[in-house]
Amino acid sequence: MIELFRCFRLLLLIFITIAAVSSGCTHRPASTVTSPVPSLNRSSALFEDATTKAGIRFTHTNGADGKFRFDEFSPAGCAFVDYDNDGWLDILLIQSGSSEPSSDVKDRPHCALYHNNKNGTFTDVTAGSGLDSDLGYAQGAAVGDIDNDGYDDLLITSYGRNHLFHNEKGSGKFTEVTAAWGLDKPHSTGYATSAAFGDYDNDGRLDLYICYYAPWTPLLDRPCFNEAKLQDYCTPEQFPPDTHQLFHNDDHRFTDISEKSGISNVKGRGLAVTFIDYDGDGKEDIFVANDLTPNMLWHNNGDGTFTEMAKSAGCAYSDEGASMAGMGVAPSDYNHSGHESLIVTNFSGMPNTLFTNQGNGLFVNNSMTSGLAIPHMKFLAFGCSFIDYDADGWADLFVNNGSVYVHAETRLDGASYKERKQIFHNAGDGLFNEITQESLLGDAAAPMVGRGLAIGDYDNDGRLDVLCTNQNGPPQLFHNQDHSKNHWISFKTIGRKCNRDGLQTKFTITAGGVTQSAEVRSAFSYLSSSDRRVYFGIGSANSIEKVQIHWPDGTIEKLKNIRPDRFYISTEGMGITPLR
Amino acid sequence: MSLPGTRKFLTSPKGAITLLVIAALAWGLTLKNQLSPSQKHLDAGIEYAHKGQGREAEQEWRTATTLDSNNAAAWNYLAEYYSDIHNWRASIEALHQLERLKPDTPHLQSRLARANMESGDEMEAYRIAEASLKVEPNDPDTILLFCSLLANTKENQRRLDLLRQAARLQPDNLKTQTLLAATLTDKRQFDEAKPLVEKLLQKDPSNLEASSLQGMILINTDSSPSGLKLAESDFLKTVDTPLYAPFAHFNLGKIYKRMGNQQEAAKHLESAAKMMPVKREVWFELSEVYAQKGDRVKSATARKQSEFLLDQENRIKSLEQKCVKNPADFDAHYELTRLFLSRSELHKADIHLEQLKTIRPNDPRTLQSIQQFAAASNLSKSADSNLSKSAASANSAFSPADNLNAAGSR
Repeated sequence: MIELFRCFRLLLLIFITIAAVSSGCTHRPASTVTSPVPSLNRSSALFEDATTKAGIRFTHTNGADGKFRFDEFSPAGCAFVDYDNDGWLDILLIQSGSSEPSSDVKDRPHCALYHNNKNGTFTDVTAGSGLDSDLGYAQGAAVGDIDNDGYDDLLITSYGRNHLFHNEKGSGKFTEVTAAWGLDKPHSTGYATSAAFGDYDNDGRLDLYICYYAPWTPLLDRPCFNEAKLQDYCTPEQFPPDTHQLFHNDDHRFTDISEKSGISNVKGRGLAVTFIDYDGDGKEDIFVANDLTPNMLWHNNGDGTFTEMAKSAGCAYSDEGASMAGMGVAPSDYNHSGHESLIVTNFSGMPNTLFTNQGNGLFVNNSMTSGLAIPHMKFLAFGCSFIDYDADGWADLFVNNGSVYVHAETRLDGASYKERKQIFHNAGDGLFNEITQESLLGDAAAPMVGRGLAIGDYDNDGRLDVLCTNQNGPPQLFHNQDHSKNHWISFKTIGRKCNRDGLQTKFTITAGGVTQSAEVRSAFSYLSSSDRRVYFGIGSANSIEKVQIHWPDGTIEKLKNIRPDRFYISTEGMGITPLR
Repeated sequence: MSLPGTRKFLTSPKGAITLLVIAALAWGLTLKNQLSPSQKHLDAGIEYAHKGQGREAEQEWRTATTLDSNNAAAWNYLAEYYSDIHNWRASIEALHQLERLKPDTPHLQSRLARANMESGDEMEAYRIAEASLKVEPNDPDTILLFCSLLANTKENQRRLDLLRQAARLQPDNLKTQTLLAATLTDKRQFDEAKPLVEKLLQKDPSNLEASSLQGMILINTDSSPSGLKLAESDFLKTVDTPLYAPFAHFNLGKIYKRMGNQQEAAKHLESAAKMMPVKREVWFELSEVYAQKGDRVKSATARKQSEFLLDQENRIKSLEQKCVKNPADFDAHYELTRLFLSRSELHKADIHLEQLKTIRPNDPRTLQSIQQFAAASNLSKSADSNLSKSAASANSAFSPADNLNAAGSR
């Protein structure tokens, strides 16, 4: 009788929570060459943590003292920068220190500058460099030659006030020129994160984009607790998003054109930025990864104004049409389509998103179909970069993970505060396979609270290395252990008419019948700046049949039959010169 | 014994006592066999219930409990009846009476938990279900009920572990196995879901739920043309069944989009949008497909709808948080009632309407909401039953709780 009235709502149960996730068209590259996962033919780790061996003694601190100040989640970044133009990458590590209001902080630890000794080791040259001062609660770094004197200058973003340093002819001295260059005026509450140099109007001088996260101040903080009633960092929704800044370089002076350009029209919790000419119109656009607000794709209108196009271009949201927790961004022509696509790293439980550039102004979300989404789910990803670690001609992916929640395990199954890195191998057919074998991951399997990430070949051995920063821990300089016989080529650009760094120059090479492309840039990932030398792995091809260099002003240089396994200097309008 | 002997015995004091005992026993037996008035009403109620005359049955059981407030069976039937007609408050009251009289009634706590859950008091439901699970740790009904309560918390792992336990306890129960497979698919644990779904399909190749799940697993794990073809065939099996049609159209739209057949993709997504107008992901996919087709105007319109729904979901999430912090927040419950009514999510609207009735029963907004809810319920009932079933299923398949996760919440 009881059963007479018993009502089972089976169907409600059956379909309780099938939230559909999918992505767009599967892009199949024209080339049929694919790259197997290298696990079968090697037993040693892909990367070795060479930090200690390299003489790097640095520990980041975010000042956490149990008060859970909101801005403690974000720092800090790093940079590979050849500040003295000796052809060897030096290292800049960003320090944050106490998160108390700056006026209350004494003896703040400094950022660190390490000079490359050209033998796999580095020397700390911070003392007397000008970087050994209190830079506030520092977050990230951007690198660019702002005055075209041939030496890379530094911007360090910091809560409250950013710091611009002029490189004094590679002497190891940096002079703070923040006020002189017009960057001393505070924006909002000053919660700056990532920044990028790029020449949006091709006038030969590097302009500057700075992301801001939220108009947060310590006074707005209040205790936040997780489901287990444990105090932890507040979620970002507690604070509204902020506007960002775009500065035009007026020759020794940056002018804030955020309003005039339209950049101020949209707010976002900005965490990562990169310049990218996504539609190939020759004008550099800007992509910004935002946290729980739609990503931004600033389309360059060519008249000093920008229009936000992410929504219509298909790269604003996750594949479910919701805002992502965009943490880091990296561009790459990972599928040899001739167009740079974007990976945007995401929060745990939300897929890292691969926006494949279709070349028609539209992106297609290939997170699921590429295999990059599911393996990421329990990780919280920040810094990221495509990196052809085995020089097989297909850009792989390296991701630095670390939660923002001290008690991450109470929020998501399998999550933890400290997390290992992830390496994905590009199979060349649109698919990425995560490398999970501990023997291959090696030191990358060590759990850390990862944040920044930069790539560069610091020992000039023809294999790209990785520099990762970790909150409240040492950085990790991962030396690439690839000993394959795959060939490679690298170009460093020197602009004459365009910006001196040659940023935005596009290289297209053909080797072994395979064509691939890359753009010169240093700003991407998260709070970090990478080696701006363009690098191509070419697998077993022992010659580069064609090289096309497309300079920002539209000038094209074409070269043939170039010898691989060398670094070249490419000077605008003057061809290329081998370095060694 | 001879007759005179008998007479002698009966007239003796011993015989008289024996006679009295027999008489007492006979009287007792008669009394026992004679129904009490309360019992008569109880049985009458059961008769009515068998005939499907619920209201008359309720009257009889009510009378039974009036005549004898300790009639546990009558309270039991009343509790079942009230839960059947979704009068959860009355059901809880009856169950409490049953608890007073027969606390060891099987499944009593899980029924109490369910009634509390349905009445909107999820905190109490959670408390009772969790306690009940300690008493009956291997009762699949209790486990499944607790799982449905955990679905609204962040205790995902606990929920999944319990579902696995229920599936182990009921290896041949199609519903439980399917629920586990669906949850694993939802949690994107495709490696574990896949063999489960394959087993379900081996047992019954015409299992449409399993076909849907297989399609889902395929489109998320196999991007090859053959994988897409297989997923397509799974969803084509279910697209003509009203219950599964919205979901099938949605996924077929995504499959054709990936195949580059934007025309066919748009056709299916448009169908899905008609069937699930508040399903944000459908509008989002549609906007992308229109963009691929070069139809910028349609793309922008679909995107706006997707963003409108996203804002709505975020608003719901924020209001629900308000209600958790302050369950007596009339304004928040009122806005939620209106929002859920506008989304035709009557079950959820009902939960907040109940709160309005409790907090301010005579408030004009409560009365207005009662009217609007009744009108919406009538409209829903008068709609084609198949279609409304499928819409309800589709809405539950993409419940706001899930959408809110997708909306970018941490």
